[in-house]
Amino acid sequence: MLQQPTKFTNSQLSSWDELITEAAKNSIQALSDMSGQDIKSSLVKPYKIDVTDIPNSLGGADKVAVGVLLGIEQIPSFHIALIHSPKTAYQVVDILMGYESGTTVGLGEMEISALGEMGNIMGGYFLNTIGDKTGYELKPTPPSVRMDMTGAILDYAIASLMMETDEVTMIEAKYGTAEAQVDGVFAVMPSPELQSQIITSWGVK
Amino acid sequence: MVVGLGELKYADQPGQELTCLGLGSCVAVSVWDRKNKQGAMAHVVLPECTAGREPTPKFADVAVPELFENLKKKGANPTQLEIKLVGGAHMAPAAAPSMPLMRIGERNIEAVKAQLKKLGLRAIAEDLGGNNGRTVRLDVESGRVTVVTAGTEKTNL
Repeated sequence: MLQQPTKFTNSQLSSWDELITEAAKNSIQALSDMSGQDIKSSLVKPYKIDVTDIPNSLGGADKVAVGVLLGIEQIPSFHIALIHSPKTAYQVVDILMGYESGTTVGLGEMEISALGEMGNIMGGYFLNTIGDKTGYELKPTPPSVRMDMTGAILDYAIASLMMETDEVTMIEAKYGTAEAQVDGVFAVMPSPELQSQIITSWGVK
Repeated sequence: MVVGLGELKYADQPGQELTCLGLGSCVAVSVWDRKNKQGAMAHVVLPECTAGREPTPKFADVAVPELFENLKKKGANPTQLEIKLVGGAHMAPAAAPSMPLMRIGERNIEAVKAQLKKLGLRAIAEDLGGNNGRTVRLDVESGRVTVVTAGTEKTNL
């Protein structure tokens, strides 16, 4: 283990899960405004995981995926990542751009820009929800979009987390329009210390 | 055998393979002992174990000495080992220039090489840096090391 683990009460952990679930739902809902389509979440489920197991939980460290990564300004140990398989990422682009399903078959400048904007919107709404509820303000960095092996995409975030913690919270998410649902993982990765600061700022005992 | 984040593994059975999957900024230290037909691999995540942290093999300054110490105990002569290094890519988001781990790939490479130098050792081959993920495999029977990047064929190192 690393430093003395931060101790949370059951009430704090339950409130934290509720908070990030609501924040994730809000960020998915915000995609509707961005795309002009009725995008809804059908599943938003938080779960805890060892940092070293993150790549395996996403299908394997060498599995090729598309990641949209956001950091938090001035805070190196909080990362948000949206991870999709390439096929799903193309589907997401189709939804965002209002294209017929199956139109997008690769990632060019426009597709990367659309996914980056999705990261901006989702990250922004996610952090705004946390800020509104707790008074703890967090600003996202501009998004970074890349297609690579899952382990490589997340290495930077994992390395910074492994300096501080063994365990983080991830959120499994399913969302989409009535015609097309997609599976993705919304990885929210704050260090326990920051999580503790947010919960304390919120006043949950 | 998959060598996970921050792990060290050893293998000495014919047909066994040591693998680091999806390396980004991490560095794999692959070592093959031709004489004893045994291999070892470290999956280094961070350059150094600073004060107050538990010394585990996720740090280069813990993993590299431990790797060779254990191989010596298993009968290896450190000066006759084939050492190959893979990984250390620049994976940090472009928008994170002020973050402390911005040069993490580069720092991992420097830290691993510094530890090898301390032990009087050096790598005979390397595939380091760049900005793509890699998977590396060591066949402990033949000593063959292969590297794959996303969407490419494997190459021998």
